[in-house]
Amino acid sequence: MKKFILTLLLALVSTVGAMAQTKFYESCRNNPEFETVYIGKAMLRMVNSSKLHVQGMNLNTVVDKLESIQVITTEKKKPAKQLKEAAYTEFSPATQYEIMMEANDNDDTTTIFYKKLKNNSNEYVLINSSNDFHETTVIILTGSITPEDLKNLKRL
Amino acid sequence: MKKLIFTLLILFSSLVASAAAFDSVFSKFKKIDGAEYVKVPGLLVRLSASKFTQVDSLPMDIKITGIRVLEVPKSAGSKFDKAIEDAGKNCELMLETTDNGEKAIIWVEPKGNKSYNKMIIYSADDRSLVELSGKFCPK
Repeated sequence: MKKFILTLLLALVSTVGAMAQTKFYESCRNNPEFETVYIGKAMLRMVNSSKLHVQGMNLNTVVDKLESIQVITTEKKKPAKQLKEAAYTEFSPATQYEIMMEANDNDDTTTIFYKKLKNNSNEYVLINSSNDFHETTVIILTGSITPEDLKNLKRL
Repeated sequence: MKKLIFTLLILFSSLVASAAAFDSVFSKFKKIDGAEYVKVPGLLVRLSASKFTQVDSLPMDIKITGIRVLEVPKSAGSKFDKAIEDAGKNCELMLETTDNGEKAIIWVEPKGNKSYNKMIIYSADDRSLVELSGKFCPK
């Protein structure tokens, strides 16, 4: 019976590889007002193999642990407001997301949320909105990156 | 014994479903009116694309052994989109981007842990589907 359950699980796992997109991304990807980008593990594996340095930081160790990157952005007034509201509803302490960081600078707001998922996986959500430029960007990172990994990012 | 055969069948069917994911899309939509379908024969690919093993700045070893291209008319749009989305669920999503209602998606079909044997590129803008078969190994 155990073998049966195990093989059944294996069969299921092999067919659900593509179901890695979050519900929020799924709801946004068909909205023509938003630009969306999904980068999967296959693509990230290639990024990892070359040296990845951003603003003097070596991100190789972090990229290695990433499962996916999802970006939703818009630069139009009404959709920007709509995306901002939807993001703050979806990602909030009420939905088990912990606020890691919040920054306000004039009309520019940035919030980073964190949620621990199953299987040692974590989800980080960055929401940036600028009222001046009518721009909202939501970046969702999933993977086994821990808050300690972020602390340990070394400057080159 | 029955249980073993049954579980093996389930496992095998899931693998077959993955391998044939886009085959059904090609075979179904190439027959519709106005569709354009091109399959580049293996020999021709070997002659022309065998030297093509690298793409600038993409750290991947590429060996292409087959190319299929399908473009369907606007009238087949929503059905084609649905078939593509369903087939894509059986592959690994590599990259997806949407902008102003235009959509481009790249899937890969894994072969083992470190390489892929198919790369499928879909452009919703002109409803075209390109399948590259071969070996794609990230360096």
